[in-house]
Amino acid sequence: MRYFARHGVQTLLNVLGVALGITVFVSIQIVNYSAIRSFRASVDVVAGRANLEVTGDGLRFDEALYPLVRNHPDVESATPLVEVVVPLPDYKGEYLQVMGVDVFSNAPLRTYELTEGSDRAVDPSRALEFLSDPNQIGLTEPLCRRLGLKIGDEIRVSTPRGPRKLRIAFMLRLGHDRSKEAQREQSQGVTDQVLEPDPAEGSTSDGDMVVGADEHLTVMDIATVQDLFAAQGLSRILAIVRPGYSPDKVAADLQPRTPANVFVRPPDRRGQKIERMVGAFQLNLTALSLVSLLVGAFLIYNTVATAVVRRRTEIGVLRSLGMTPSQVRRIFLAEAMLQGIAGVVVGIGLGVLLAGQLIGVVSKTISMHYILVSIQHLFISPWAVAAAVGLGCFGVLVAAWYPATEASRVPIVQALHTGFLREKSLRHTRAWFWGGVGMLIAAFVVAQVSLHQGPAWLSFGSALFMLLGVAFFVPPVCLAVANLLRGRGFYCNVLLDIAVGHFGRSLHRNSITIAALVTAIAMVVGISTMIFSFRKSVEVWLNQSIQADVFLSPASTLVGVRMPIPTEVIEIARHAPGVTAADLYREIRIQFRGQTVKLATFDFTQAVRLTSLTVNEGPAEVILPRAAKEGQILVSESFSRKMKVRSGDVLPILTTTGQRMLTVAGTFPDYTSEMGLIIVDLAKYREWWRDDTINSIALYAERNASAQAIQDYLREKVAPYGEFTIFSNLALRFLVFKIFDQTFSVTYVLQTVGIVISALGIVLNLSILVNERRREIGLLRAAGASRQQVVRIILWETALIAAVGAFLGIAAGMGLAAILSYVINMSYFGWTIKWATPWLFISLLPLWVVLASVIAAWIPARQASGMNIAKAVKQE
Amino acid sequence: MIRIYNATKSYGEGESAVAALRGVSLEVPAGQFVALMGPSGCGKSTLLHILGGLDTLEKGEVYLDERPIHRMGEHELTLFRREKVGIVFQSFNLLPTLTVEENVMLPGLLSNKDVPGGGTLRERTLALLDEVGLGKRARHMLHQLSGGETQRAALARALLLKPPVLLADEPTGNLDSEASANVVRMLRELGRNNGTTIVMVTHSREVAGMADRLVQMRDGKVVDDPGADTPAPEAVSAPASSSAPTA
Ligand SMILES: Nc1ncnc2c1ncn2[C@@H]1O[C@H](COP(=O)(O)OP(=O)(O)O)[C@@H](O)[C@H]1O
Ligand SMILES: [Mg+2]
Repeated sequence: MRYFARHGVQTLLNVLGVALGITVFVSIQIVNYSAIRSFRASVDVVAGRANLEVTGDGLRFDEALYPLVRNHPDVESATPLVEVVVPLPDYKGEYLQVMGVDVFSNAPLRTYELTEGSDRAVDPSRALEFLSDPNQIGLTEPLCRRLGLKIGDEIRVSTPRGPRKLRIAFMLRLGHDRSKEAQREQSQGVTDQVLEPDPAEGSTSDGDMVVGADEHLTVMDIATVQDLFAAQGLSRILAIVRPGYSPDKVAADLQPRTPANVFVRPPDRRGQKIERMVGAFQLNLTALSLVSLLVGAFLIYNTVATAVVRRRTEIGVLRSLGMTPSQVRRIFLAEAMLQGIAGVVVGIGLGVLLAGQLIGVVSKTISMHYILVSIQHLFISPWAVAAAVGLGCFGVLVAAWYPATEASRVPIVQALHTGFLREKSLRHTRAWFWGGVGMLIAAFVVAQVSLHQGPAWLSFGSALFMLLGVAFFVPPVCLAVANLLRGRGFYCNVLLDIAVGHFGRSLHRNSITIAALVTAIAMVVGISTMIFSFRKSVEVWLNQSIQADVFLSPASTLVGVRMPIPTEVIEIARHAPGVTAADLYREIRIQFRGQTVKLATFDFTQAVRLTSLTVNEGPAEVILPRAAKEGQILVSESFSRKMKVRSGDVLPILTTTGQRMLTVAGTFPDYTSEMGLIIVDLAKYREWWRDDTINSIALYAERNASAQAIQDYLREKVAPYGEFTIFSNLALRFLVFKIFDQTFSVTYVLQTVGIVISALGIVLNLSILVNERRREIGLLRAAGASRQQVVRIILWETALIAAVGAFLGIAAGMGLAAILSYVINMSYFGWTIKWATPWLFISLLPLWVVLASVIAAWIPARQASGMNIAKAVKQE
Repeated sequence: MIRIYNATKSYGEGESAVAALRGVSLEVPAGQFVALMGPSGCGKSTLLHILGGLDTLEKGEVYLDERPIHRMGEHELTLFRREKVGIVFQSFNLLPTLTVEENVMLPGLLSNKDVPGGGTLRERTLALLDEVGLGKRARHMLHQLSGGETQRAALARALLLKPPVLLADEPTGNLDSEASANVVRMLRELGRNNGTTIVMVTHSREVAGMADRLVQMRDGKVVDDPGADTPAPEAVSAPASSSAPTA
């Protein structure tokens, strides 16, 4: 304990190092978990208490299915549902998720409650009246609070026939939430924190309460919704099967009597769907957050090793007093654990705070790429907390084990001998070198296995081996550098030479710091290079695929809601002055081999004429028109990789008019969907899916028409039909990159934390080294070295540490980028990434690293130079 | 000529303060070789550190050739250490990462000045190493030297820039009597040749016998100084703390 107090700063740095690693891990876990829980909660509200559900997977289906379900002998009750997502034009980025319900049939399945602001439930007759009044609406309290609305206010919603004013008549309580649960508003207004009591159960319904459901949910009468939003058909039928009867049997009964792309099954209230979809995305974030923990573990190793060296005498005394080696080890482990636990506790706290900051951007990313989700609650999964505690303690234990064991093996006599702390000679550098080579080989082998055999998560093992492999190279490289520089500068720069001497002699200490630095830099370089390459690939692709001059789509597309474009608007666009051609685009999601994939459609023949599309199997001018004629499909590269589908394969595709066996005519590069993309010609789509909805339009201008003029014209003409975004070619590219960068913004946070931890490592390392070298510094001062000269020696050594760390880090970063792009990406996403090196960034990086390290080292260096000389040279 | 008046120094604060020097006064004429003896903890090292500019006094005055060391600032003290004193400690005098030659050369490289009396730094270094009998060891590393050889190398380093004062804190504390005699003989010879004033702390009567004068200390005071021209120690001792017995 006295030791603790004496080395307070080091303890603090240590705790901070572990804490930051844990922070990143915990925050990512919380954000991931919250996304899934919020989605599930919304599913719970929509699905209610039903144990059977009929869905069209995003597409609406014929109302005629409703009597079929309701009249099934085993069905106790059933209710139809229409769901539409409508933007709120007066609130940027806001929308309502409207459930159109049938007031008469939905009573047994209801999961919401209408109130008049306070807790007073509304009496049933008034509720009926409200639901059938097309001008009234009920909103959730959190949404009202956030938008500053109250009962009696009016709110504008977008409809296909233009904006429409609705009066807020009631508050909507989701679930029969009677306990005014602790809804503490946080300053960002996003986060109520809920500690989920029972994660294994996996349901968000706690009794009658649904926590975390999307605040955007709202309820209206089904006929009103169909009419107001021109939403024909049903989105969903919910049913309760009579007690004692099996929902599965009913499903099996009904399924053959429904169209092929309508599914009858128990509701997926567990949210496996979203988990499967965003799983890879979330796994990636988790893996990255673990790298920070690794950097933290290096720190711990270093301090424990230091403590062992510094306390050799004490160990010797304890041992000579009869303490056993394992008792000695236990002392060191216990001390490390104490710091580790402190770090974990602080880290969990900080993690919750960071999660609050990250949640917005993560939910945006998920909505954009996968599925509409709005996260208002932070769900802190006890599992994540347990994992953080476990990982933190385990990491500390592993990191501390080796040095603690060393401590227990210190020979008593040697331990009692004081003086210069003798370097444990690094004759093992050769072993380290070959170990590193072995690790790199292992990385390669594991990569091959994960690519060709799977499982996909092995690809992370490949990254780990690669990082460890480079870390193993640190001691031999340091030794080589020290030998190379040794004696070079003696006559012109004695300070540099002393620094090199120190550097070479403290390899055991420096190596770990450098390894931590290498890991952090590798993370930065690896991710940056991968993103850089990815971005370049997207750029090349964009130049080919985005060639139209003006793009039009409903404004809600920007928040991840796909709304149809009214026919009137399509006609206006098509015939706008200066427009030569219009490309209509529609996308839906379909089920393929149990997974959700994207299916898009446009006019193949026209597209070939207007743009230069790439098909990997041959000229697009030939393949696409033929595919259109013969009813073939094309699949994206990511689809082909993930589903192991090749050109010429015949795939069963579920359409509204039944399952069709469609031939794959070719594959093409695509960066719009991680789920995988199938394209089919527009005419065939309309025939097979009976759907003539359009999601966006691309317009081509005449040779000398101004794209700006077309945009201006459209803005004016389509305004009465709702909110639309109208982009120029340039603006759309800009937007694509904005979304791209948003997707990766979380990784920048992870990188930053990694860098901060390794900077802490450098400060820690130097303050330890300075302490170990008190006597040498004292001697130098006694021999006439000025304070400045001492500072310079330490800064030189720091520069060496940083330079070696930077160069190895860049090497490891390149390796990591390759693994991220060609192993992890291929295993999980299947994007085509063409390698590009960010030369400028990489060439400037060592400069920054050295500069930052030297600045960080300034404090310990100043301290060292200022210490009392007499005390430093004092013989103990 | 070294002059110390009423040097007072204590470590720590308040209750736990330890008085290391309780008003020491001492004069050492230029060129004299003084041996300092006394029980462990009586303040010998502290006194030496003050003389070497490694530590500062609480009260009292220290002069070297009429220049007040106790009033020097950081920068002046660095120059003073470089040019005016050479120091040899009991052990661990050399930097383990440098060769013997480099260690000896160190003060010259740090001060970036010519050797007093002409010649290059390297010539001076090699000549000194020859004088202490390490001519063939110039390129060796610290761990290849014996204890006596290490101390001789330290001696060479201390004398590199021909300082007027040489301070040695138990330079033979870790050596057997033969090696001790060897080192002290060299120290005396070299000092005499250069006219260096030497103050050496030792525990050994034998070693002390080789000095010109023997000064005894106890409890932070000079108690027996046969060569003293100054008044008896009691007369100048520090006022307040002098009567308190030490624990
Ligand atoms: N840095 C220090 N902090 C606290 N006490 C010290 C320190 N240096 C010396 N002392 C104390 O001052 C007294 C004199 O020490 P020192 O000059 O080293 O004695 P000597 O060299 O004669 O053995 C001793 O009691 C010692 O414990
Ligand atoms: Mg002493």
